[in-house]
Amino acid sequence: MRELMASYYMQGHQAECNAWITSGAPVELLYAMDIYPIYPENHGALIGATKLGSYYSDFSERNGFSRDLCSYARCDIGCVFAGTSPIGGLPKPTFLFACNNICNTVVKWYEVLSRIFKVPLFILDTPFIRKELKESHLRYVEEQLYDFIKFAERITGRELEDQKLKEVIARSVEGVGLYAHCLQSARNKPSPMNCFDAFVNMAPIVCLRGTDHAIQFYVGLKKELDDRIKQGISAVDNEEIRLLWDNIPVWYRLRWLGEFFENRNACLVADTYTNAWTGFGELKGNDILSSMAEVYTLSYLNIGMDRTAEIINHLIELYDVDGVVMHSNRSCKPYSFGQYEIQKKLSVPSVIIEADMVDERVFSEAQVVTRLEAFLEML
Amino acid sequence: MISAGIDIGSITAKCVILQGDKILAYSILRVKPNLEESAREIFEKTLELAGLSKEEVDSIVATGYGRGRVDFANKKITEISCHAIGSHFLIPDVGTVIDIGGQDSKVIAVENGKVLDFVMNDKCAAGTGRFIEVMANALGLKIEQIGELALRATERLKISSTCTVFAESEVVSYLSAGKKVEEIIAGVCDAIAGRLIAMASRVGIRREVVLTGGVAKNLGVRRAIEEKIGFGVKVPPEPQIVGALGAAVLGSG
Amino acid sequence: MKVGYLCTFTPKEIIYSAGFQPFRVFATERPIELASAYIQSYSCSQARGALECALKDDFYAFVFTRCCDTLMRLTDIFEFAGKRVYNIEFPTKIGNVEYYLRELKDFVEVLRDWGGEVSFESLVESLKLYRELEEGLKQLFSVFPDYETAIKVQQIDVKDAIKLVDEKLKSAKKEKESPKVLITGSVCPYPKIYDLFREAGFSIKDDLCTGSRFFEYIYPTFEPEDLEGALRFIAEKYFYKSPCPTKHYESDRRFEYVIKLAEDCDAVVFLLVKFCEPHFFDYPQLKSELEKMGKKVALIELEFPVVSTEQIRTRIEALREVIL
Repeated sequence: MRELMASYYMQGHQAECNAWITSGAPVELLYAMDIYPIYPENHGALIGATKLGSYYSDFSERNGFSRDLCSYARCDIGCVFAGTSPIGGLPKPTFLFACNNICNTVVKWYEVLSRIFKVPLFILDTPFIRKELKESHLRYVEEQLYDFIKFAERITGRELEDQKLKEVIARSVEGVGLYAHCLQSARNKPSPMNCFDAFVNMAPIVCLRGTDHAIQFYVGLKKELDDRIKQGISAVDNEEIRLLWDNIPVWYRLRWLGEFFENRNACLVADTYTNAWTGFGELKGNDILSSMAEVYTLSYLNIGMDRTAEIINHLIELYDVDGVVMHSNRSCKPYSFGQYEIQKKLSVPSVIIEADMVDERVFSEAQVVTRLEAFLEML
Repeated sequence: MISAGIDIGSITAKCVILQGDKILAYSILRVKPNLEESAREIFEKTLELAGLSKEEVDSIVATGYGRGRVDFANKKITEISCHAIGSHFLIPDVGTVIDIGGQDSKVIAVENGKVLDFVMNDKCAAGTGRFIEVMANALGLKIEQIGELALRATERLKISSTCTVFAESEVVSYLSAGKKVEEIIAGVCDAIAGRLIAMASRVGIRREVVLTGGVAKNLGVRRAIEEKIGFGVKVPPEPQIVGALGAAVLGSG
Repeated sequence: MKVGYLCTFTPKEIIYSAGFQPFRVFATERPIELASAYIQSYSCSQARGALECALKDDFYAFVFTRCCDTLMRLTDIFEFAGKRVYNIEFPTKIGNVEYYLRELKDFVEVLRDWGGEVSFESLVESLKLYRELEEGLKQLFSVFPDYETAIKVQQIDVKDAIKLVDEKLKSAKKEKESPKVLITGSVCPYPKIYDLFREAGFSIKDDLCTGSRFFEYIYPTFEPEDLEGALRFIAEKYFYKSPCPTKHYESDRRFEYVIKLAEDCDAVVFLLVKFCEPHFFDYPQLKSELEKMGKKVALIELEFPVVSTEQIRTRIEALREVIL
């Protein structure tokens, strides 16, 4: 895993042209044109995991960016100002590609980057699907996909070949299928993995979706998990309580949270975050762009609260969990606002903890411990 | 069977010694920076009041945010569960516990002493004892005076900031505008009650409503809460020890 | 019957033509209490204040346009709180009129379901009235930027609003020209804040959603001939309204717009609502552009309801002293 991602970042530096891209954007188009995708969000997660969130955020804050802004954005922009990062900074982009199917924050964040680097920015604007998906929404997004291809072709001087795109889509679908299989091994009781394993192993499906690297990685992981099930190895020694995690991880506290639950015989078997990528498996090989428009418009964070609650209830059933731990994430408004209402629509009890995905300054250990312990006592 | 419950909060430490359903002794002390020492001290003091020796206590349960630091406890349980059990012990038909602690406030939905659901305040201090303390300081008052004063007000001013720091400056600017202290105080109590009721509505308010924690003694806050929910609340004679009492009940099996 | 809306991109002309009273919802003087049961405290106080207002007052329905992440979720939260809601998917990327025209047609259907019929005649009449109001406000602001009036007209019948602006215009006295401050930000529904600037000796120009962004438009040049044409007119009118940080424009239209506004000003104040992401993302780079032009720049962060103004006054007076 570590080598795979190290070589991914390395290749990014060597690539002739690259694009910085948001986690919910159709990366298949980039791989089909040999444009190397760089993921600032993944970079932000990595900074969080190395507990350097406030360090890099500080570079942004000193340049006037408010501490109330998304901490992925603050860290990423901070690294640009710092000229480095835990992996030596990201390579300068050839262009920027942001899709607002995860938030409108990325539009603003990428506008900032576009002014700093003075490179073109393409915004893929997906309407928010609060209730039903309309034909007009799909047409709007599909037209932009054509616009994007023209935009990328103009900048890189390359042409998108149909055949190549088909191959990338096929690999993407295969990779997502394997990935989903890995996550669903957690249906086994006791579960061979927990959501912390899922978080650590999600980078390939985000960054390398559509390549053989992702397929090989999840083939390996699937085998490992299948073996664990056969040998009766579980993530938590004495799994008594099964839980579901909601929202982006608290990256700087992964191990701490993992141990906290393990010591109390509770296993967070699954989460809404890593499961969000399984939706990209619906891409179709024929009529690619219209299928792409549909799949990417209906991404997990771009749908209404009723549908979100339905999906969580489905995960509750699929993984047979006893409760839900919701991370109220100061950095991620679209993921967090509505949690109070969703709680009331869930089929099992839930608890909310206040934190931030990367900024460790807003984490209050005593408060989190009390809430989680009381929740486990209640269950 | 003699059991002890020790509640180490952010501001005070509480201990209750229980035999069957009889409280033998209790005490309340301000916590010291060294929580282990505070725990030992409160335990020894309560033992002395009960006329018991350590050996005579069969079980010790610790609760409160410093529960992890009570090294001599047999068991550690969060204050959420303990407040539910303690309230139920005192007021068997309790449906909702509103606990206003020093740094945390919480609303617990209870049925037969069992926690059905709970919410706690988010990171900021609005709606906690700390909030009142800051406002009392800004007005040059002692905390104990706040409740009485609030009841004397015929009108109440609006304190709108959710942030303690901003609310403090609101209070100060009311003072400099020559507003009456009791009206400001009544506003402070109203603001806290408003925050608590909003929290409570997330779990649902069911009778009987029991107020616990140090702030429960504050008549101004109590009245503001009652006005907002439209019926009377119950306050145990010593609302601060409910958590420790719940811990002792838990320890008694 | 009142139909509430929050964002200036809402096509209020259509709501009015269907026989409803468009009512812009702002945070009020009331403390925010109930709303905190529905949304976390790191949402902006405009969202929480509007929700508080919605929970306490009487509205037939609420219309949202997607602009920021908070408002996107707020639609569902309003619905959860038992309110009738509809969200128009205003594009984030300005450009595709055909798409937005389709959204507006769908909105007309929704209004019909609510019992309000939109005809070509009623829509053209509504367009005419709102344009008259907008031109009136523009005139009033060129003499004296009257925020109390600009806020009030968003909450009353457009015909009464036109009359009110006319009256105000008759008695308006020209402000002295300098020193002039440009106030930029989202909403500030408290007229007393603007008074603080005048009391400190500034004349005011603004780029605010409770000021000029409510009435600054570049109108399409064609005359609508049928209902579709009138809807197209609205789509284009709102695409080319004064730019907002929640929208993405080809080139940097938003920055260019603010920079142009700032040209004849001595200072620029960013009057921002805490937690407002779109504005706070723009702030550092826009500030640096303005400073390059030699403008003094200050940031004032607001939380609604604004009760105590003394700190804000100090901030403004200090700015006034700096540019003396």
